[in-house]
Amino acid sequence: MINNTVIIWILIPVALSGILALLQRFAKLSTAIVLVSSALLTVLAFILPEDLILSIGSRQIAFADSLEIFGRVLKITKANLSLVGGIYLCVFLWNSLARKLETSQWFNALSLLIASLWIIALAVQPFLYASVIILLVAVVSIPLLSPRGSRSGAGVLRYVTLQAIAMPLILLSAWMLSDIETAPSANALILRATVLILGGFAIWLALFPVHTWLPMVGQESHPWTLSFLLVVMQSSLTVFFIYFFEEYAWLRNLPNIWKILRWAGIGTIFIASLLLSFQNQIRRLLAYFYLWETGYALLAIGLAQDGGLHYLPLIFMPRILGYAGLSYIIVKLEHLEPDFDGNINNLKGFFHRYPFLSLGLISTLLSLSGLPILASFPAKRHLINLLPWSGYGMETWLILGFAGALIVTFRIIYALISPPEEGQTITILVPHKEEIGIAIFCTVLMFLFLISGFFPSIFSGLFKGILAPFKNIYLFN
Amino acid sequence: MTKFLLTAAVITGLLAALANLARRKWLFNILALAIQYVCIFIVFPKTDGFLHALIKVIVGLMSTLIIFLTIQSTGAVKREPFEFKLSAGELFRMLSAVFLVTLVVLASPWLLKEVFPQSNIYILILSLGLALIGLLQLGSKTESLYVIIGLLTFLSGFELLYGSLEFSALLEALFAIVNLLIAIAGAFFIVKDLETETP
Repeated sequence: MINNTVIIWILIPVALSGILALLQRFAKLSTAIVLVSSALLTVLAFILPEDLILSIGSRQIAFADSLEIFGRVLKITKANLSLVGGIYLCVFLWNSLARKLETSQWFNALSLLIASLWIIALAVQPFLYASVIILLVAVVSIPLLSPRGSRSGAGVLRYVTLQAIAMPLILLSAWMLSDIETAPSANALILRATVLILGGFAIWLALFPVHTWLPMVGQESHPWTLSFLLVVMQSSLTVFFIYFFEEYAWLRNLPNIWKILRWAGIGTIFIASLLLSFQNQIRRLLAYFYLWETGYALLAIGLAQDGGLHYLPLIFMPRILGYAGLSYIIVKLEHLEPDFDGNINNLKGFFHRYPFLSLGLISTLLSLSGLPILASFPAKRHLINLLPWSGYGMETWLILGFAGALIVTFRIIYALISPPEEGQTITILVPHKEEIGIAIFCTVLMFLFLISGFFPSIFSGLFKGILAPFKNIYLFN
Repeated sequence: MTKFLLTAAVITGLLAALANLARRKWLFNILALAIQYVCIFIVFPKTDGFLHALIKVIVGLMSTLIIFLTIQSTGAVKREPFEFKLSAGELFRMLSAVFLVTLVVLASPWLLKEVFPQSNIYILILSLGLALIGLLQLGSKTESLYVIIGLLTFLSGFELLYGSLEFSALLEALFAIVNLLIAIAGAFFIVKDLETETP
């Protein structure tokens, strides 16, 4: 009965999240349940063979890959399981530290629910119905982004509002698409549907100028919670966007569409970088690095027909590490220094007091910026190498985009190693207040950055299957 | 008779949305939201029977009730005496909405012919009017109660339009869940703000 991929990776997690919601006050129990279940779901997603038949000893368990609900089909094939495994891996990683970092007591339950909702979004057919699920994810995220005890932030409301505005654009395009299929040469319909799809995705991906909720939510919400939501959202939306090009030949054959995507990616990288370089609030860095990474994801999609998509799986693990590292360090700094107001310029002397956290922060920022020997470098280098010659146009904007991320990184390094303002001398050289957990986390993080930088294929192998459902996108016609 | 009823529903629905946009009197706003949903029920296409329209109105009224009960039980928003005099901001929002509705009325025949031939003029005017007034409300108000009312207005307008184009049971179920969750989120924001205000 339960040997169905939809039941295992969607319905069981949804039911479990309901149980966890009832157990939210029992922190250890609910954390144990979510960790065990997400670990099992991750492992099963990665080990299930191509034919969906699992052999345990002499027994063979065959898994069905679809389920009908309300007359529509939910389908999770082996080709989708890499992403599913990746999403549950994030649930596992983020939940393992969630209670220690004092996130909302709903985090265990809602993180599992949000993960399964994203998987529904990727599994529902017709896939355009996913737009309503994505709005549902936004609404379900509210208690995590704006927990009780804090004032309702305008950022969360703006986030939900923008997701609500994006949903009709995609749904209306779905309705128009049915007409395009019957009259493929209808130029007016194609133009309308394209505008609706690209507009909907621009809002979903928080591209400039509809990115304003990102820094607001970054400032208002718990960084650990936000980083979880952002990493799952970015990975799922990127794959969802590729589905459109895979499914609709008219879309991928539009004149200049790939060029537009490349420019959108470079523009996003540049704007994110510009905003990063002027940023003073450490909490907002996460938001702008999200925008920066979205730019690279768009660039990879824009370079799909030159092989750019192959570097998308390469960027998944560095992104997970980068977001987790940055958000963990911000939370820990705020815990250890209650008087720290989040201003980068007030990080003076922190390197001498918190060497592990400071080194972790520096390596995270350098890795996210794409510096050599660190995790993000291989994917970003390959993508830049694929750029077609554009008379220095794209290259110039990309270099400017790179400069902004480096400026903020070096501003932070400068602040960290500067002596504290009072007395202008380094009186305390002995690290203090840093728990053993922080030292272990930061050391492992830096080690993983280096390993991913030197041997990118170690982790990219895990997510290689993300591209398995896509075959048509590489075709020119 | 049917034409008269439909016209009356479209006008009443738009006036209710307009009242929600212009005034900040919570009881009045909740009542206007409920009226809006009743008007949507009247205009909603009934080619497959009353059931779909009935689901819409029940979900809408339940959402309204969730917000009403939360405000009433917590006393979160103060009850103020009703005034007929409009402030400059209220007048501005009202005039903007009137301008948008006029545009919708003028553009609807063309939209009906060129873009949404499956729909009808009543649905088109009410749905686009509600969606645009909802958007205006989302852009012009920051208090969580009014943002939630704006969201519900915007979504109800879109659902009405989409209901005239295509029907899917799964989509209807998802819309119902989204509406109810948005109303619960509204209740959550109201309670949360009250908790942080109370020392």
